[in-house]
Amino acid sequence: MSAAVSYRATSTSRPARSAQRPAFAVVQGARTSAVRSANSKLWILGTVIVGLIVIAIANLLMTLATSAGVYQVANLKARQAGLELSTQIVGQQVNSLSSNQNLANAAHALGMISNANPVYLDISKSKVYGSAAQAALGNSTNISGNLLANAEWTTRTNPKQLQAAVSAEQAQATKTPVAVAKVPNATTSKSAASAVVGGVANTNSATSQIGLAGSGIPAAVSH
Amino acid sequence: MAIIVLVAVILLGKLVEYQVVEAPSINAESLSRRSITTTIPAIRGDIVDRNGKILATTDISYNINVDPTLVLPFNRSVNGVDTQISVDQVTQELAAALKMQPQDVAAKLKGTSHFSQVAKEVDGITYLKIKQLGIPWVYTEQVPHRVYPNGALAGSLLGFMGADNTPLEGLEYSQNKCLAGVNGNETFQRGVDGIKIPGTADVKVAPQNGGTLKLTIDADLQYYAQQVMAQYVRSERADWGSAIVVEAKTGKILAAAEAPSVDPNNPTGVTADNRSSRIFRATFEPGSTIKTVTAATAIDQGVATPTSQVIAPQTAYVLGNYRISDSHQHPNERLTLQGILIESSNTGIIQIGIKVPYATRYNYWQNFGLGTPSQIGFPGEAGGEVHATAPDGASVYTSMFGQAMTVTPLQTAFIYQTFANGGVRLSPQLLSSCTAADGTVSAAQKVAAPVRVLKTSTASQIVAMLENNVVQKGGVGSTAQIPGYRIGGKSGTAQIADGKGGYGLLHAISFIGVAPAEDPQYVLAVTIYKPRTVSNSIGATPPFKMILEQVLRMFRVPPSTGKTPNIPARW
Repeated sequence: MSAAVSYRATSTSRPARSAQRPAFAVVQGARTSAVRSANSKLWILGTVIVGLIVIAIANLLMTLATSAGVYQVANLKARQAGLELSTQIVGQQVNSLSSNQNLANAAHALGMISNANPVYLDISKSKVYGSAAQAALGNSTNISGNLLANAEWTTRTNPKQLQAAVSAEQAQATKTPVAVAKVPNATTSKSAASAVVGGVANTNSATSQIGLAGSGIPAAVSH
Repeated sequence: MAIIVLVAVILLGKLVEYQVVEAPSINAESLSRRSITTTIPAIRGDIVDRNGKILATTDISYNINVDPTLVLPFNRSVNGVDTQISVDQVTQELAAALKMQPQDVAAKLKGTSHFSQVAKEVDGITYLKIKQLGIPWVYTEQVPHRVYPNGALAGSLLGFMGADNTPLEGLEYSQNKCLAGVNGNETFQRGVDGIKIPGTADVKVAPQNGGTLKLTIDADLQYYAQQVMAQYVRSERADWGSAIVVEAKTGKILAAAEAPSVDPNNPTGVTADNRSSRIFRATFEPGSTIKTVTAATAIDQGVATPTSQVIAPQTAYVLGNYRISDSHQHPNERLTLQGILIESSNTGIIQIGIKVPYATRYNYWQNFGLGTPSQIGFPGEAGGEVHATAPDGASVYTSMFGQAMTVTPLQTAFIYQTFANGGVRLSPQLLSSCTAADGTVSAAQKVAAPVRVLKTSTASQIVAMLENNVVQKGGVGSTAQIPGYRIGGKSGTAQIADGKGGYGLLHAISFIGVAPAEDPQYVLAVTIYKPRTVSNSIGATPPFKMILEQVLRMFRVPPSTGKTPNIPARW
């Protein structure tokens, strides 16, 4: 500041050397300089205050945003935990339902038995291997019921529900005859059996299973 | 004034000391007082079958705990109305959710301790029910829980874990290096009430989960074989039974079924002697299934052929007065080597076997894998016993029909695998691979180099004789016929040592065979130990037939073509 004053003082000596300059110009110049200096201080102060306010507001906004984010993260984590739990519970049910013990019992409940006389077709040689014979109860290949313990077999297929579902599908198939050669429509042949197996609803059953026309028994897609 | 300034300076100094100089250590101490470091358990890897079906996996279970000092009535919103729930009501609700008696739950809620475990390792559904009750003083902790979704299926192989999640038996024990992960740890901050402050968890060391162990077992075939063996062990009132299915050209074990078999979910559900695998551990004198080894050795040494002729009496005397008899009454019979196998004649086989020195036969036994455990590394696996020198004179003869030696069920299967594979014995394979959590795949077991035991021509002659055992009438083998398929096999009815220098009344019966005989792909060995409703190997052929039919169906083996080479049994 003293340097500026000194500069101004030096500059005030200029009119003395020039008769055309009015003498009061020096006073006017000094007063303007002071005002400018004051304005400069105010400007700096204002800038600082505004800056602080902006920073405070930005900080507030960021805090709010971060806080909201934290709640969102917490919420998402809670949802994730819930979904993981649901996945685990459903996974346990699926494991139990797909256990060999449950499948064997369900197949037995549907009257399914293995045939000891399989017949194979060799398409390349146009040959038939083996002699077909009807699978029958009471032969040596039948084992009555499941004999293997499973303490984790907690979710079981309900045979009555399964049979009722198959009967319902058979009735439905009888009402709507389908040409033998027609490819079953995966989207319309709704598998009631798969929808109620073990009492666990399967909302995708209509598309995940293909029903053989008239058979009433759902067949694997890879059949 | 000076004092005030002095105090102010001192305070300022202390302030600087606490806030600047010692701040890090004070912060650390503060953090340590409110922080707790806990272990993040690594998830133990799965055990899967050859098709990826899960045989063992790890779920999360929940321990239900309370702080009894905080047990008080609390408010719950019921239909939008804030309602006070009494401790008695909560007790009833907890008991219903946990399927416990209310008085048992009530007892857990009392006391001055800050910790009481109401229930241990409940499943996800139960946990959800408890959570929905919204009880403020109930808290839970997650614990890994080993689960075997198929129960006793392959239970004897899988083994089981202890209550503290340490492996105790079977592959869980021997393959722990593959299955077990490395635990991690995390720290979190707790409030004055000891409860974890949400969002403060800081994982210091991330856990490394265990690898996936893949077996050569086919779970569906394993289930069927176990069902069959369970049925026959029950109906024949036997001590135990086993069935092993081997892929002849690879040595892969497709099924290793046993009855009784432990359910690894509940190991105490069976007696201690039924908690392990007898296929690997049980040793017994094999009996007549070894006659094929004696015959193969003689043929391979060039001292016999399938049509070599002997006269087989009912009883023969060796070493002066040591009596060797056949199991059934018969006059002197003119048998070929083929006929000896069909009739399973002891007096006939010793006339063929004696042509080969004992030391040579011992070398063959070793090459067949007898006397040595496999490379699978199953815990406690036995190697059986064959003697380099005959313990006594009689055993030179009795070893020709499977006495004076012991084998495991696994070893008997791989004798016949050698026949089925053109005379080359392969290393038994049960463990396909171990896939680490990062996807790295490594071998889970050693596989020894194949051993050429017999000439190819010898092996094919033995297979032909095995087929004639089944095709020709007169022997037990004919009961193992499967329509449409050419099957080969040999029966065994072994006496069991009574521990007093003699033999007891009960037997170990077996039937071991190959299919299809024209190009053997599968080997099946069935053993039933101490059946009480049947006294000879005719009790082993029905389960053999059932399981082999399933093998042929399952692996889409087309019915056989061609005819069985006829080898005369008599002369």
